Amino acid sequence: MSPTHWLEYVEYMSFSIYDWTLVFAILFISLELLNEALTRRFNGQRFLETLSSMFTQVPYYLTEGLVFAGAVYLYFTIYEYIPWQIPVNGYSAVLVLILADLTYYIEHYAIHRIRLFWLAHSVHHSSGVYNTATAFRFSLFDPVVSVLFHLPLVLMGFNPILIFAAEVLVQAYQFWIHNEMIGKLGPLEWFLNTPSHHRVHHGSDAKYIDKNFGGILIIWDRIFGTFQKEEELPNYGLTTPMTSKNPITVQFYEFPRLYQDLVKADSAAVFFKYLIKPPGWQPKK
Amino acid sequence: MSLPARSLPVRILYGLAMITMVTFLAWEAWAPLSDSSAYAAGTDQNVTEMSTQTVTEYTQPEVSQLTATTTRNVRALHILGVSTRIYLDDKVDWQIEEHWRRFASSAQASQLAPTEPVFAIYTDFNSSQNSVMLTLGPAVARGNNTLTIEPGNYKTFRNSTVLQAWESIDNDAAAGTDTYLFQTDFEQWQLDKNFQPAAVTAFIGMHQE
Repeated sequence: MSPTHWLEYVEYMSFSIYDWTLVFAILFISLELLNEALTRRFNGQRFLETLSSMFTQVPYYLTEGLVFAGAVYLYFTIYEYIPWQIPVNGYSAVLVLILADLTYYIEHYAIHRIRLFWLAHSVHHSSGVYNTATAFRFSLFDPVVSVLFHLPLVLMGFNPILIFAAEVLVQAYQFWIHNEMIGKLGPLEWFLNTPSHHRVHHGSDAKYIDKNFGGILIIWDRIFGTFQKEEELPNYGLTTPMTSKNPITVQFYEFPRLYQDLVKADSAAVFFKYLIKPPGWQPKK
Repeated sequence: MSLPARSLPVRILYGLAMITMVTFLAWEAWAPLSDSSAYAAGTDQNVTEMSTQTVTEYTQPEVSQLTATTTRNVRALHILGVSTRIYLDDKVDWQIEEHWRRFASSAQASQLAPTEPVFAIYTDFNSSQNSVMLTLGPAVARGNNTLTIEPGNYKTFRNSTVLQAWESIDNDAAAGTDTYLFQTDFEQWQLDKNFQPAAVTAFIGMHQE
């Protein structure tokens, strides 16, 4: 196939997979709710929490549309000036997918460990209920962070369409790993991110915090020492539980908490550190 | 470690749904690759829209390649297409390219079959404006909105556009222009399976002898 056809193919294929994944995700949520009803786990609070998670897609999609349009312009503008553009073919499409998965790991690590970014990402982790709806739960600021972290792939010379397609595929992968319906998956647990690995990631238990950042592949966690296997079912949510279903509170829960820390900062250095240090950081007395 | 209680029938349904999704998505990803010609031809609506964009790559054949060949008798052809007026004194190539782009996003283009010829018909020459109406489209059964290529004898110019053929005729003083009708001259574009122009022949209408 010609480079043009490769670009058409990966663009069409990635967005098609994403769209169909959303359709199947709705089916999974329905089955999870049915399971809760049959096992008498269903209650109003859990149902509202599920709806609350799904509703976060509304503001997320609005900003995603705007940010994506800006990212397309930014990436292509930069790409035009790259003298070492990497040829578009099947090999570069696979390579950029692997690198986008590594980028996802790095971005994911950063948004957990840098308080400013955690403002946005904490929305994804603030639910005490863990089901496929959690995969829909995002901050309206999440797309901005993603654009910044994938910029190095443009500078490496990859065609922006390949990068966007890879991002979409990594994102689509996340929809099947947010559930408590699937146990451990044998040898797949070695190299793939699975529901079991990702339950650990959402745990607020001390040994589960800041573990399993991988997107599609879990090998990045194994390589960089952030892997933790699931030993008991995690307690989900933030270390300071957030129980509100109010869409505004869900989106901005961490903002006043950061503000309280910033106003008590007694120097510019401490102020800056509150922004870039991990959540929970406090200056030494 | 144990997961929360799960109903066995729901577990089975969930597992089947998951397997169906994985299989379906694998097929969705692989099908266009395994049949690249079908992919390029646009068996899917979305792909069609993307693929037909490539029709726009209108390329002017080299004049040195012009070959006046035979005279052919052409039966009436009915073309359903998109039309625009081309002004011959002003950036002609650009106007024609723009019109091919318009055609590529039209309903007619999305329904083109692989290797189906596309016709470019030049009609209604206006000498005061030095302009001509250009219609692009496939041959279809006669209808209310179709343009008819008049039947009769046409001189064919392989690897030539109509405009180049006209230029060639103008320069051929010996033949004279009285031989030609300048009524519904047309190009027959043959596209390859990827909707790229593979060959073009210009047909210039002639008076009956």
